[in-house]
Amino acid sequence: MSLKIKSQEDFWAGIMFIGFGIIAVVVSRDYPMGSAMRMGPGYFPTWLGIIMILMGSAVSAMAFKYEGEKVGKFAWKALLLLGLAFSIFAWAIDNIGFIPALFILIVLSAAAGQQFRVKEVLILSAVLIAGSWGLFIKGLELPFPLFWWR
Amino acid sequence: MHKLTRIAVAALTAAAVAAPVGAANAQVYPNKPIRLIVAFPPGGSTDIIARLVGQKLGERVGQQVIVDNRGGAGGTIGTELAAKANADGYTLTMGTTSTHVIAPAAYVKVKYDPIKDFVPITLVASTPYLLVLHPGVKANSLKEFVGLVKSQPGKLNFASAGTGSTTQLAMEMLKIAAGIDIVHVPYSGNGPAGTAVMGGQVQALFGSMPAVLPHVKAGRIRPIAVGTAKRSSALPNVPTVSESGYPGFEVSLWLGFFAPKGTPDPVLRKLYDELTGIARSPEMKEQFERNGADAVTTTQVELSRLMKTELDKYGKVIKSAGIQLK
Amino acid sequence: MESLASFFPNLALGFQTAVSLQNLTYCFIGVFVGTVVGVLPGIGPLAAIAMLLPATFNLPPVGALIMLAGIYYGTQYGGSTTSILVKLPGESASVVTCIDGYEMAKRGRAGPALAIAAIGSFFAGTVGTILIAVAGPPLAEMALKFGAPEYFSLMTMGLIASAVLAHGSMVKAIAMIFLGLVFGIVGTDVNSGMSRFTFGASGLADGLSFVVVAMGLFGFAEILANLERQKEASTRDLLAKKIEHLYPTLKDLKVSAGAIMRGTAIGAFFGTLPGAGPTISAFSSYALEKKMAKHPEEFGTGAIQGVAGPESANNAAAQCAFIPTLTLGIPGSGTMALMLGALTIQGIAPGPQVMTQRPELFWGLIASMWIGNALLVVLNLPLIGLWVKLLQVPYRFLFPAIMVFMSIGVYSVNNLDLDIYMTVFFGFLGYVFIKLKCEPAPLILAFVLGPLMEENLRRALLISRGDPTVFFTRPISAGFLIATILLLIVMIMPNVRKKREQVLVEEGTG
Repeated sequence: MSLKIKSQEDFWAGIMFIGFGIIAVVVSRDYPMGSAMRMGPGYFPTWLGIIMILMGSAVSAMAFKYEGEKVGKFAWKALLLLGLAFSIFAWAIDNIGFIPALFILIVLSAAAGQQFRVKEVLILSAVLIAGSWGLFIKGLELPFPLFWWR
Repeated sequence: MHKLTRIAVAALTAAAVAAPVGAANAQVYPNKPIRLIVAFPPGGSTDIIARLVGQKLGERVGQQVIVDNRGGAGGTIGTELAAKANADGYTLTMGTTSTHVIAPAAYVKVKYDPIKDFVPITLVASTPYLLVLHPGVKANSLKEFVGLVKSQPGKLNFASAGTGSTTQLAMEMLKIAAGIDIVHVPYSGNGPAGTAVMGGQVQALFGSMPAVLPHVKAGRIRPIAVGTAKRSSALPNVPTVSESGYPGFEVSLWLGFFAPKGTPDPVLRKLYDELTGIARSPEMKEQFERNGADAVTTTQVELSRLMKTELDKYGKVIKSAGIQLK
Repeated sequence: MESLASFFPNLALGFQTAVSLQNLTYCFIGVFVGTVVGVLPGIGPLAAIAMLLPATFNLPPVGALIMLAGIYYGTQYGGSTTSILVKLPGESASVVTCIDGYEMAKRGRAGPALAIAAIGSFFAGTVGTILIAVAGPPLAEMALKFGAPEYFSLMTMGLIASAVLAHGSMVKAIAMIFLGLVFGIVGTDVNSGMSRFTFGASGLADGLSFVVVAMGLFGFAEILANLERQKEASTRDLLAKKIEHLYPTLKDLKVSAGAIMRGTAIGAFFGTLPGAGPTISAFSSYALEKKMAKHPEEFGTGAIQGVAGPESANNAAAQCAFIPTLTLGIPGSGTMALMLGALTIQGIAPGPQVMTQRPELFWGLIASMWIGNALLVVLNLPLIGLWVKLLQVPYRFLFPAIMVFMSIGVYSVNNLDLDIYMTVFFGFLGYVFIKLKCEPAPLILAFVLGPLMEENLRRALLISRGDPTVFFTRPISAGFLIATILLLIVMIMPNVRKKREQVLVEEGTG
């Protein structure tokens, strides 16, 4: 048996599980453990973490035995733009209002796509914002400020 | 910081768009929708009462009252938000014993001061707490119940709607007053706690009236004492805890309207007039009664005093029961 | 049973009440609003009913209840639509529908998937309605027999069954279950009142909300994956494949009939239990169908039974959730608590006396439930054409629109910016899962059931003063544990394992 990673997918999946397991165990150290019969708040998560570490190790170990696939490339541009779109929206909706927040969200999202034609995106924004306004603000009466002057 | 920018932007726009409006503003309050922050998710008893009163308030002042549910962390998230809101009368909050007394006393980090950050407007309702037992428990009065618990200390259980909830604290108070030992089993909310007593999983519950009253009427649980100073009109045959041998015992959950500190006096007066009018109307009284609550009104001074007494009272119980929420 | 003898006269009274023009209108409004709200991710029945509650204060009691109930099952229908079309599950029960429903949509079979969901739901709704009418009170008693040990054993069974949901590696699926349990711990511990894994954020004190996790792992991650696939293929849009049938074929119906009936039975059983009824029902039904299917390998790649069964189960459970609410006054969920609130505002105390004191109300509601379900089919079947057209919209217009609905939906749950940041986190995590071939469905089930499992485990031990035999000495609890063990044996049995391995190899090489 050679020590060559045959399945990158499984190998990294195992590492991920181990990582989450370690976080669970470490953070749980702040919580009282109790005993098996009188469990404290730390009992359940600590054991979950330990099992996660064991399971992760098993998954990683399988990577040396069974053939699998390579992990594909990450779409960094889309990841970054969509993440940014949501994050800015989260800040914007309560600070500069529903309509500007949506506009930023739509433009940044569209930028993550294949083609970005300014005219198209502007029309799309107008349609989506008008629709959302009618549906959420007028229809469902959600309590969002429309603009920074409310 | 963002609040400052918002104020600045708002001020600039206001100045640019309509300079003469400023002077007339206070007289025509309200001239835009009022936001009523409810620090609990939709569907709870606080939310329902807020919506009932909010609807009527909107009709009376001719502006919409939008209920804004900001639930989470025992009501502290929404209340903190209300404390920081603009003090212009367009943001109000529904404060309760939970948000304005228990949470500040039990949570390690609460970022608002119930006295310093708010001006009380008036109470609108209060819900009594009722001590109920599973029908299989051999006790028909508080005295018998205390005797039963004393005969087997640490063997019986009581349910609560959660650690640090009024339902737990009410029983903790009784534990201190009667010197009994009964084990706390927390549930996640009034509903599951009531079900547990009905099913006999636990023996007792100091439950809120709206949650337990229907089951009492259906004969599935036995009421033995009510926590208010006077007997409840809904169950006139059930004695109070204080008349059953523990004078001075009083637990109820009140709900009232609060505005951020600094809200102009004319606005507060207008809201006081309207809200007390609503709470006193026969229609609202009837609605509250159906929900197990009593309509109550107070002046600002009375409400402030009440809060101070309660902060003191619950603070002691929370300390002796060792409750500390982080 | 007295109710059985007087069933037909009572039902006649019910229809008399419900079939007034006025009440039909309320029913239609409710069902329509419910469908619209259900299609929007995040804004669930709870928020919708809460928002419309004040509007019903001035309506007559029967009309108000009919409208609110209409909203309730309207949202149940609407929720499956987005799950199938764009992989946005609005609630935990719809997660299962995503698995095969969305795969069907990707293969140009969105129409049959939507139609079978509607048909299955209608059948389940009808059975559920009849059950409420004839067997409500005795069924409700079951809810009272469920204490902490029973819940723990039920959750354990549900978790073991969820491993069947994955169609890839079993070990990875189990690891995902444990990861879901860890995410479920975030928030305030019911037993001690302590905040765990909140990293000091008060917005996490009530735990991660389901909408956040589901929107991230499914909706957000799927957009990322689609954008990437689009880039690689750089051809036509993925979702806009040619559509063969708008409605299910005869073969589809034949294959689904059994699944619908079994799903309905499962849903009717679990629905009366307060708590996670619809979710457990949907997952159990999926697991059962996969075990019973001739070609279990088709599950996860667009098997129509994987939509028909869970959707029926989910709807039957949603309908039967009314049983404990109406007959005992015990709400099984936040939404039911709100319905209860609406009842009290109208001056009706729920409980056994409702049937005798206000028969016109009780039976009117029952009749309107059935009418509501029928209206939903009438409303939804023609809409399928429209929904499928929506998929023809070029993806570069569609995905920003999905982003808009997701963001507003997530934000509207608590009006908390942190929820959106957490959605981004789970979106990225979901994308990593896709890359590492880890399937998120078992994780979601564990995330939903885990907190209930821990809470009830610790509560059971607290009440028994640390005696673990309670799980075996109480008959219902013991029954679930025996079922769990049987399930495990079936999973580990040699021939079954062989089948699984076959699947594994097929997929590894495929």
